Amino acid sequence: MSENESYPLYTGCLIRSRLPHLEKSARMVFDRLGVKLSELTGATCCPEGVGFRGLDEEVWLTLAARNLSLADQSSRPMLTLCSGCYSTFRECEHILAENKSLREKVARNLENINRQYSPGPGVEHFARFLYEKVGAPALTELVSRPLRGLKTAFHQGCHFLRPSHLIDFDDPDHPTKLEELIRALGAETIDYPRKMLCCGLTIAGVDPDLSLRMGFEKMKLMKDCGAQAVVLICPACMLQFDLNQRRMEQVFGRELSLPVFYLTELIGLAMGESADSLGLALHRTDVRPLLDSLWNTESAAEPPGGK
Amino acid sequence: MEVLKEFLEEHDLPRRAQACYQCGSCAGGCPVGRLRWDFNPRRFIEMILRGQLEEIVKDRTVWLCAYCLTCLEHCPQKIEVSEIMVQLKNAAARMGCAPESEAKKGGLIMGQGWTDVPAKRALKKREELGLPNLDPGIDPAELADLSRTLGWPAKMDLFQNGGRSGPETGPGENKME
Repeated sequence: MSENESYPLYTGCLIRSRLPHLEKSARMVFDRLGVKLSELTGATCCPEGVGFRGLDEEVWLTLAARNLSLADQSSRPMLTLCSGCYSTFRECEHILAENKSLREKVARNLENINRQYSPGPGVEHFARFLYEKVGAPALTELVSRPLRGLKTAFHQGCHFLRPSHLIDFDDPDHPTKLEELIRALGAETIDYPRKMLCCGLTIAGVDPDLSLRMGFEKMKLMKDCGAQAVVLICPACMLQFDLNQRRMEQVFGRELSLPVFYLTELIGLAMGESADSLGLALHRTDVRPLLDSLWNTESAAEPPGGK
Repeated sequence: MEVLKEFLEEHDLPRRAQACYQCGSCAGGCPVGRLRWDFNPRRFIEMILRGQLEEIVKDRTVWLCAYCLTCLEHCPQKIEVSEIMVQLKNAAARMGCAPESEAKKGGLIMGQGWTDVPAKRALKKREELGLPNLDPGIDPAELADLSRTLGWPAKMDLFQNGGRSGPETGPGENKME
């Protein structure tokens, strides 16, 4: 990674509007790794691939193709921070390559606004990039404050690995790769039943009660198996498990108190960044008691608070 | 129902569902079906095979599909169940059976480019965190052109009212100015 070429960053709606701290941690980690990011201009929502795609697939495809056309053909792949955006872009590329009639319709739509899509550098998910281009051993080398003793439950989410015939990264039912990255930071990754269950957020608009229950059922399994924290790689799952956790506790009458970390937040902490500089105060489920207990049980050679 | 029949044929749904032998692997792994007995992907495939078009559109549970893709991974016949669910939602939307929440989301995306715009508080937080200024995204004039090109206003009327607002906004019209 000695090249100067940069990766256009696509953050998506949720990080733009509600979760700037996730972007902060991602930029911090990529900066520490010496990976340059550039700003993408003129984008729209990816667009959202469940409800919006459910309204009209051709409209969904046209907007996705337009976003893909914004990145310079000669640039590095667009880096996404959201598994939903990743899924939309990967599926869009696949459909436009395979389906002639949709390809022609989308081309006509884009021509009417003076745009053109052609297969280009494509898109990369930040977590896959970290696994494939950086790797667990390189991450370990950057750790200054190992997360020893932290029991994490990793939530893979639906759209990072599936459809596996398109994405082809890890076993879609029993994935193991990204947990290597968490263990590279010194933390533990626990096993829990039905690990690949959906967080439920995508149907929050259609049936809020059912959506909340899906999230709760999964968090309960994590908690019952001894998790102290949840780690994930998607801002939609983040909203469900962090923002909605309080409501789950109220509605289902069970305490969860499970801090939720986006993968780059956890990496940032292990690299010695402080909770303040990462903006962790923006989390709805307080992360401080957990971090305090973690740092306080460590040796005096590693004082709390980071650099 | 003629429009719907055409839609299903245009998307080749009966053929794409043909290999299903109703084993229920899709339903067995479905995270929504675990909690809601009335949501069953296998049954939607069966409805297509039996040509029960009206039932498909009337069955609002089609919108409970979270598009988690578990069914797609587990089908022993490699039927793209989740993709078929998308087409069924498209068919239902065209017949005026889109949930209010999703139609509203569509209006936001086509009206402002994003599902949500940052609140003042989020912008202030960005500044405090030292993040670069947000790019505003698509130019409003280009978004308006895109919306017209895609026949969006007529489609929205269709999603929300089944196209009953007026004859000038009938189905399938891609009006250009």
